[in-house]
Amino acid sequence: MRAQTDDEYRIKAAFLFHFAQFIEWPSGVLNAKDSTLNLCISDDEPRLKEVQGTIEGKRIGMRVLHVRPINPSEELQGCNMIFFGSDQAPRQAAILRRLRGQPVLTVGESADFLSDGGMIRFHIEESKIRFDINLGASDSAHLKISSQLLLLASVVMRGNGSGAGR
Amino acid sequence: MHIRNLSIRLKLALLILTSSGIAVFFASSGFTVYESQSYRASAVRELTALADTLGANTAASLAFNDQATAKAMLGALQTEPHLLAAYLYDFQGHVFAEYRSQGSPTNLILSVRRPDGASFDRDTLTLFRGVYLNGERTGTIALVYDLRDFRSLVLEYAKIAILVLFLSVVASFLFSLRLARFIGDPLVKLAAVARHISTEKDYSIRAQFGSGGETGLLVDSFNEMLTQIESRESALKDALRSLEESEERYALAARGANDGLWDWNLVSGEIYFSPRWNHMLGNAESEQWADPDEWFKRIHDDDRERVRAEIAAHCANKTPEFVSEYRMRHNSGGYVWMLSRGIAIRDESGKPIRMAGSQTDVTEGKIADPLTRIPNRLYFLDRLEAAIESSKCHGAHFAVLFIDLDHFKLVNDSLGHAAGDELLIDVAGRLRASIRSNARQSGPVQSVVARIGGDEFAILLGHIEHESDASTVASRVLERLNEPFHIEGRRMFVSASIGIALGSSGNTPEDLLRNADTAMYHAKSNGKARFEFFSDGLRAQAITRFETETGLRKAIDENQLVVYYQPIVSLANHCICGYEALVRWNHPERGLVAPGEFIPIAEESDLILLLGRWVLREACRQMAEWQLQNPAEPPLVISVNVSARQLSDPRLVEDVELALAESGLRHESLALEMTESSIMGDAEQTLDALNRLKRMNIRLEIDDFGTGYSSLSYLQRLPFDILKIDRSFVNELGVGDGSRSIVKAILELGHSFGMEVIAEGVETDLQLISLRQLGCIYIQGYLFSRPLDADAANRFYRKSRETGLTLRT
Repeated sequence: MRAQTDDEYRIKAAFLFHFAQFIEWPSGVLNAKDSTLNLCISDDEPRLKEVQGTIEGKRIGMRVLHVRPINPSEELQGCNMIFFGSDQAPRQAAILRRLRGQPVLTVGESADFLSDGGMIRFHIEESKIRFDINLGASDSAHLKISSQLLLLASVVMRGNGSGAGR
Repeated sequence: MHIRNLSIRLKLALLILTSSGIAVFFASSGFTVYESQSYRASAVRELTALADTLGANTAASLAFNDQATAKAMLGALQTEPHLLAAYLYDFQGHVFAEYRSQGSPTNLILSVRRPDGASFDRDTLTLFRGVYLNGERTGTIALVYDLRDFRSLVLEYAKIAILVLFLSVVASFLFSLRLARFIGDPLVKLAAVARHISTEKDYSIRAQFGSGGETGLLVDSFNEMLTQIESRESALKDALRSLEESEERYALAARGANDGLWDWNLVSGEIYFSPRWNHMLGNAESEQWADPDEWFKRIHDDDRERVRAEIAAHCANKTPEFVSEYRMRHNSGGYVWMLSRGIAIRDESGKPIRMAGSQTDVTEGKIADPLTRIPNRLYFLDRLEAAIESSKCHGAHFAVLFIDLDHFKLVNDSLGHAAGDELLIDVAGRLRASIRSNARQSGPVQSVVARIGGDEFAILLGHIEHESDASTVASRVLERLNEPFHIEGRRMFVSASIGIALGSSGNTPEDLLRNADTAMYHAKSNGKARFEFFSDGLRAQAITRFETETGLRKAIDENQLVVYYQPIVSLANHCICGYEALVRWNHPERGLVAPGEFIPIAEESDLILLLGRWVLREACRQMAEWQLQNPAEPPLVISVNVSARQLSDPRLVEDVELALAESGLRHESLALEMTESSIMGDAEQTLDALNRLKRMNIRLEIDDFGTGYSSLSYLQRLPFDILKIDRSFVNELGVGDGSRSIVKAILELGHSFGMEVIAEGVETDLQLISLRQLGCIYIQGYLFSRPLDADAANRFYRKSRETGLTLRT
């Protein structure tokens, strides 16, 4: 189970990397000098190591992906993406409220992540990792999600946090 | 059939066809290849674009490992009709998703990824292409494209290209035929004209069609060439024609000139004689090679070595050409005169290898009399010799007729030489005509008519049996000559005297001719216009004549001649007024010979000149002596006869001067007596001499007046002092009135011209009475005295002076 979990998080890490590839941040958020795309993960997240080990330093176009451990209650400045592990479910809603309107891609795995105002949520479907997208959240954050990504999503929700069928 | 032998039109058509075919073939092939290549390129390009699109679309599926979505995306390829299959491989090369169209073959499984790139199979195009996500390769996509439609398209293209090829070949074939006609026709026509010309040999034909460009130039050049050929041809023809003409002309000339030709090959020794050459000798007109001896053995013995020498001289290059005249034996037995000319042809060393030339029968020129065109004396003697030979062998009889025209001299002198010539030609024609019947007979002796000289003709009469045959011909000749001649518009009569000698009467041609001549003289002396046979009697006479001639020559030298003198009496005073000097021959054996016996003989030769000169001198001497003896008597006149020959002798005046000077006789005491006919001999010369004598005061006297063809004009022109009536008229006096009238007329005529008239031959008193009555003063004759020798004459004179003249009656 553990190993399976490790694999699961390595795949989820790869997905996180790929999400970055299909998302377009608003211009000015990622300036040319800032060649790092920061993926912030709570430093108490148990899977941090696996994620870091899988995707730290990978290049996305001109930029390099950097996994940054953070204390979510404090400073979120400098994060372009934030992964909320299932352990973060209790406090994710507050953080997400704080982040509302901010061009930060939020990815989580708890069942109510999207309704909490998150943008992309992992779920397991026929033992395969799939994801849903809350288009209302990403739109309000001025992030453009590639249609291909939308095509692969199991569920795409429109509107403010409320889920919508595919 | 080789392509070289094709006609130019076909060649051109083939050329155009081939080149257009090749062009269309390459164009079609190129087009097809290009189409095919560009189709492939575009297929690859399209496929690549498709792969890229698919890659972009499926990159996310690969990234998020979403095979269902990838498969669904590949399923969208159904709309691509030619796409047979599509495969998506993940990064590791495993098949991630696949698509197969419904019609795709089942074996088309690309489970293994291949390197990127396009690859063509027979029916398919397979493209492998990478799938990238943000520049990072995430997988590979493979597309399989169906090329069968493309193949059929290419096939369509090929079909169309073949069709186009076929159509263009057909079109260019039709076009090339026209073009070939356009280009080739003038050449074909030109070739046809050239062929026509070469078969017809008619160079006046021209290529009669216009054309431009090089063909036009060719046609013009061709025509120009034809013009040159034509002019050259015509020049050649002219040259050939003139050569033929000149050859023909030469052949005609050779025939016309009766030339025989000979051509002697000196190397082989053979000689060619032309048909004419043979014909000229009486041979058959064969044309063959022969031995040169055929030539030489026929040449007269007297000429043969000379001819050989002349040929040798030319061969030795000593003469520029060989020219020789010689006699050749004719098959008929006689000889013909030939003139041969020839030229030797020499090799490089100058050695003669061939000699050729002509031979002309010049017998006629040699033997013909140029005036009458009948044979001359030379030929006649030749034929006569042949006749004698033939007579010895065959015993054939023949005769020689010698014909002399009577009084021809008169015709010549009175009418001129032209008339005389005309008469001779006419006579020759009549003579030929009169023997023609005999000439037709063939036999060993051919009859020949020849002109021997002057007015003398001779006939060699072959084929006589008897004397009568000869006399028949002689009579016929006389008859023919009796018919009147028409000369220069005048009608005149001519007679001839003929002497006949039979072939047996002599052994040589000269003998026979002389015998006939002798017989002719006999005929003349027997009254002319008749013929006489030569006989033994005549032979004797001839001998006598010969002896007389030789004797007379001796007589002059030995003073056997004597001058007798017959007195001339004047009835006015019955005195002797002069003498006529008459010559006598005191022959030592025959005694005194009458002048009639030797004067005619002397007149036939120059003896008469010697004799006349001697008589003149002697008579002058005698008269001068007499005058010296009787100085008181009136001077007598001596009449000396001058013959025709003397008159035409240029020395006559000189002789007279000499005789007068020698004797010292007064000029007026000499009278020269001449007959009418002798005066007319050479009229101008005689007139001149007579005038000179007249100026010397010598008296001139016409003898025998009335007998000849005396012309009154002569009496006017010539300075005569004395006229002597011929004794024949005097003899007749008293017998009939005719002669009396003539004598009367002569007397009146003489007196009217202021001349003294003498009647000679007065023998009777009756004649004397008549003459006296008619007024004649001067008488000569036996009535008074016969001719006397000098002494007797002198005595007679003295007696007459003493006693007067007594008439016998």
